[in-house]
Amino acid sequence: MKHMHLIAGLLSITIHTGTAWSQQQLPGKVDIAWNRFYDDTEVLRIAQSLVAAYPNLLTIEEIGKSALGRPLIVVTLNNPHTGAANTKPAMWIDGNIHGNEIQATETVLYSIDYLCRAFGKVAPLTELIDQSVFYFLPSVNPDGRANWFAAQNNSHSSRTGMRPTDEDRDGALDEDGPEDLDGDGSIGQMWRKDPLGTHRRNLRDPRILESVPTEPRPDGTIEHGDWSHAGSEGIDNDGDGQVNEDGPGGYDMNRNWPSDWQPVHVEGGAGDYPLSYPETRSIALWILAHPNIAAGQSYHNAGGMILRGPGADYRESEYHAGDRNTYDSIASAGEEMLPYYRSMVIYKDLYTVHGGFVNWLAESLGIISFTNELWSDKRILQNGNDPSPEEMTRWRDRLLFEQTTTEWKELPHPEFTTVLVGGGNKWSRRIPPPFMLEEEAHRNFAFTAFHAQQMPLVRFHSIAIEPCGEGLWTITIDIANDHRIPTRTVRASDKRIGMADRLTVSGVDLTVLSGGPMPQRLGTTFEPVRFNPESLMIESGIPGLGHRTFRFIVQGTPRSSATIKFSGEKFKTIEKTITLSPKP
Amino acid sequence: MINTLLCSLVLATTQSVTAPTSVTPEAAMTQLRQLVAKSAAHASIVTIGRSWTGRPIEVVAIGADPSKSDTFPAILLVSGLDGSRPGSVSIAVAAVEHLLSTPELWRACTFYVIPCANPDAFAGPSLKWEGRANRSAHPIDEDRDGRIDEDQPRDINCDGAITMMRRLSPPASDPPTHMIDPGDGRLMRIPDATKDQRATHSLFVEGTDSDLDGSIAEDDFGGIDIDRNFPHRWSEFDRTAGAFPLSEPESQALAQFVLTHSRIVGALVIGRWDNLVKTPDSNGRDITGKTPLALDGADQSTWQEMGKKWRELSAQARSTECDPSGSLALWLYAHRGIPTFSTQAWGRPDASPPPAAAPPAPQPVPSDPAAPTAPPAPIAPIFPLEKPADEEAAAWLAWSDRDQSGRGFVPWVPFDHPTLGRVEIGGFRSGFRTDPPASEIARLGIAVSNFMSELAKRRPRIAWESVTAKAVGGGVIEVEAALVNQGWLPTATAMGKSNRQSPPVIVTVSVPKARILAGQRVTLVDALAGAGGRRSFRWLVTALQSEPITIEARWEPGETQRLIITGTTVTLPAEIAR
Repeated sequence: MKHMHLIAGLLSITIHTGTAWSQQQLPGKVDIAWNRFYDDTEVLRIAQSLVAAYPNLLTIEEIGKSALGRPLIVVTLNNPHTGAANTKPAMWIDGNIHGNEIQATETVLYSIDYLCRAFGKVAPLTELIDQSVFYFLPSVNPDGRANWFAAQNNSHSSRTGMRPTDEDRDGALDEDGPEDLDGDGSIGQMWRKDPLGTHRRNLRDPRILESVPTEPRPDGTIEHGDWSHAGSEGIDNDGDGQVNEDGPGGYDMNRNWPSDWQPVHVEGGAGDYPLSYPETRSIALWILAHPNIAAGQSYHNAGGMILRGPGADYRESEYHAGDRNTYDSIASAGEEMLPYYRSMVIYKDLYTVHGGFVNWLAESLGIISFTNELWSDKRILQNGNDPSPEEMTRWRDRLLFEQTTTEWKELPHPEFTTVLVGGGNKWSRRIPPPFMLEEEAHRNFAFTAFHAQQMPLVRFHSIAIEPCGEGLWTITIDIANDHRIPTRTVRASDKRIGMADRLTVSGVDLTVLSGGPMPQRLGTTFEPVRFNPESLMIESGIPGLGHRTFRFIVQGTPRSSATIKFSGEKFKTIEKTITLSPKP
Repeated sequence: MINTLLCSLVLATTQSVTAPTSVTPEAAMTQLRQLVAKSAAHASIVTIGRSWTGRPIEVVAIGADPSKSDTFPAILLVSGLDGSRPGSVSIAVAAVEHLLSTPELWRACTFYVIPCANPDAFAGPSLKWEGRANRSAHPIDEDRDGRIDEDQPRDINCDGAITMMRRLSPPASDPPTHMIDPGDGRLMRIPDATKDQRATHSLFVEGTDSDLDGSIAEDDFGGIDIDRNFPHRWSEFDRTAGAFPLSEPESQALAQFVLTHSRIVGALVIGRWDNLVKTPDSNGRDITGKTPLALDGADQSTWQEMGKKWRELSAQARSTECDPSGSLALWLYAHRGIPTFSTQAWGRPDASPPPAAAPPAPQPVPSDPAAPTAPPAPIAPIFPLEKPADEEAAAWLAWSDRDQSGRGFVPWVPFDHPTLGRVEIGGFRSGFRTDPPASEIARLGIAVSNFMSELAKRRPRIAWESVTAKAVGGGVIEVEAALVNQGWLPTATAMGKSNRQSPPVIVTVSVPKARILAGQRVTLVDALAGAGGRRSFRWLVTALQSEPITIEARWEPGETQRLIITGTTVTLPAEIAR
């Protein structure tokens, strides 16, 4: 920590020179390398260091514990000089709900770091910080992350949380996980020797296992390989005839959220009930206590996707046209900013997901939310194509210098006699190579910042006061929302989620006789409410990049003042005091 | 304030008229603790959670040795879920009392009884409107105005009950929706356009517009219906169903109890849903098509048979239709696979035959609306020629009139409402149609106890049958055996089999895998049907000389059944010391 302060002190000398800014070099107070990955304890340390370095912007809180007792931390980024956090629209950003999807966490941390570095130096980001709040949860699944780093895994394993689970229903928990038979620190693929095998080793490059043609030769004979796939590296620990069927954990926390949650016979790994895991429950309770969250992003890997719900076809109609337009306008910007990323709908373009996190944000809470699947193999060739096995091998040889592969080894195996073990290690798929991590993190951060910039920002576009009789006045108020996200999504107003927006008129020596929305902004009539006209509940809010107009009839004197206040859960309250005069 | 004070004075004098028809849940729970204290050798009581306001949620375990209750197959009873059914707590306590007198059953089984799963629902205001009496104390902001419980129903005419208000010829802002039913002037109905009927009245819950928002009594005490807070078919945007499934401390306590007691082989829930008097339709599936709405077709015969048994034991012939979405009983069955039966415990009794040709009597109208109302004389319909639209309500009225001195219905009386003007106030008394008379509690408790005993008797029981071992040469032994369910219930319901939540029977052979030439060392049997359902096994094993081979059938809720094969000699479970 002492060292950290020293660095901060040195850097503070350079940050006011000005020359660095024009080169987009934003010095930071914490020295973090963005070309490497960090395990769970390092993640915690980085978050704490950032909070210590930027106390004017950052606070940290533990919102719960993981199944194994690791802290779940939320870092709040807020400029208190422009208001308390709960008075501003907020963006929720998390990552790593799947323990193996590690770069999600670096992307969250990078976002915190970059915003802090930019504050006061980069105008658009300073404005964004002044207007809004960010809630960052770097790792939803610190147990899965810790396991992925510390234990033998592959790119796909340790997706789960680490609560012991009986996947094979034999009464024992986690008793038959994989083993690192070749001692390379990863769980590779395993091929059993088989004279009727489906695969053989490529003659030119024996590291490639290629499938044998199933079509008979011209002479009618059938070709066989030497190897058949036997799953991932491991043995049958519990003697039930199956290999690796009950490893650590065994569930999917991104199927455990209340929106369209379905039990495990419908959605594998969904848990016993929605929010049955300490991680998901703690996060849900925290989010429910922060109704100012107006945008959501959950980082995953991999595939280069900007995903939105619904997760199941039967919920398609729950994304109304108005909300779809908002999603599309943000996601299409993302497609430009993120090479080889595509805007996709989960159930249609990926697969069916019941009980997903962003589905809960979007469908249950009415928050415009995306999941980004970080990294695409298309980034390898950078020509829009996925690499062939040969191209992939060349990439690993020439750019990664064989660091992500283990040489195939023939080993004895208790169940399969002889196996071939090796291939790609856990760093070989789904995550960018370190030299590309910073770019991946930055582009996704920039997309998320764009998303945050769309959170509602309202202003009184016009307030017109006209006398309409003895001591009577009309006040016509036009409210504009300058950003893309409406103050109430169609989903929120349709399902009456949260509190409606509220427009109030009050004042000494002033009585509000009537009030209501104007169906046409430039029309002459309005729809008076029957009760409490001084406090209009505006269920459908103010549309994104749009206006709504309201009219009040008040009784007062020319010297009466009226305070007009427009408040809601997902934008900063605006207030203006006027006097009853035709020209305020 | 004056109105409230006046009401409290009136209530004190009319207590005998409105006295609850059964013992209060609190008194019943005190009685339960005394019962358990007297039977400490066979019963224990444990707090498994606390309600929203901190009241304990308690479970009684009855068994030969309460400290080992977790080691036996168990039958679960959950009651006191629904605040409009306070008698259900008393029924569960009466069932405990009766169960304690059946030692022959609890030597082999444990009975868990949770008599009052939603204790807050029986607290709160002393008077509740019947339509919302079921809720927990967790307050919700029904009208989303930022204030909590600020516009509750109230007994504004001080008649000792919260009923309904009907307003004749309402103004344009409150269009009429109902008319007085020509079949019985006490009942309201939606007009039948084919009969050229017109709406004349609007209806409100008794109360005022305390928060001056134009709605009457719309933000009631408390708010969550615990029995709608479970995951199967949870109603997402119904505020009374909770913010998410199992969001409430009461439902969490129940769920955690079930999830940590894997030996529960059958359950009975006393609440708003009945699946015993009427077996649920087994055709419907939820939106995924993978989970039945209420019952899997393959389980229907079990429910039909147990329903028949319940009707015999309880003499209950009728039940009320109810949507079970989000109920505990649905979750226990559809997501946990537990055979779960649900009952309202008591249904509408038959009314005595009508007295011979009584002349029609006009509806009495007290001259002073604030005066306490005496039990009204039975009232004959104003328009006897037409049957009331709501035949069920009419039948309740008949029972009230002819057999209950009219206590079930508060006659409509005029009242000058502060914002609505002239209205009439009246309607069914809360609890009359849901809670049995006190005289029925003991009988229903015995019926519930006997039903639980029936479930215990019919529990799955696995055993080995037809076991043979013969030498086939070269030191190889062929073992054949059948695993049989000697109980009536299956080891897994069809639902429990398809959702893979019912524990399988795990059959394990003790010799290493390498010496099992044919057959599996470990086999999972997902389900054995009831009444003799069986699964045959055959193994070829290389046996070492005089080495005993143990074949074990382990089914988590029941007793593990072992076979020992020594050479070709078979030792059956009965001969193996436990």
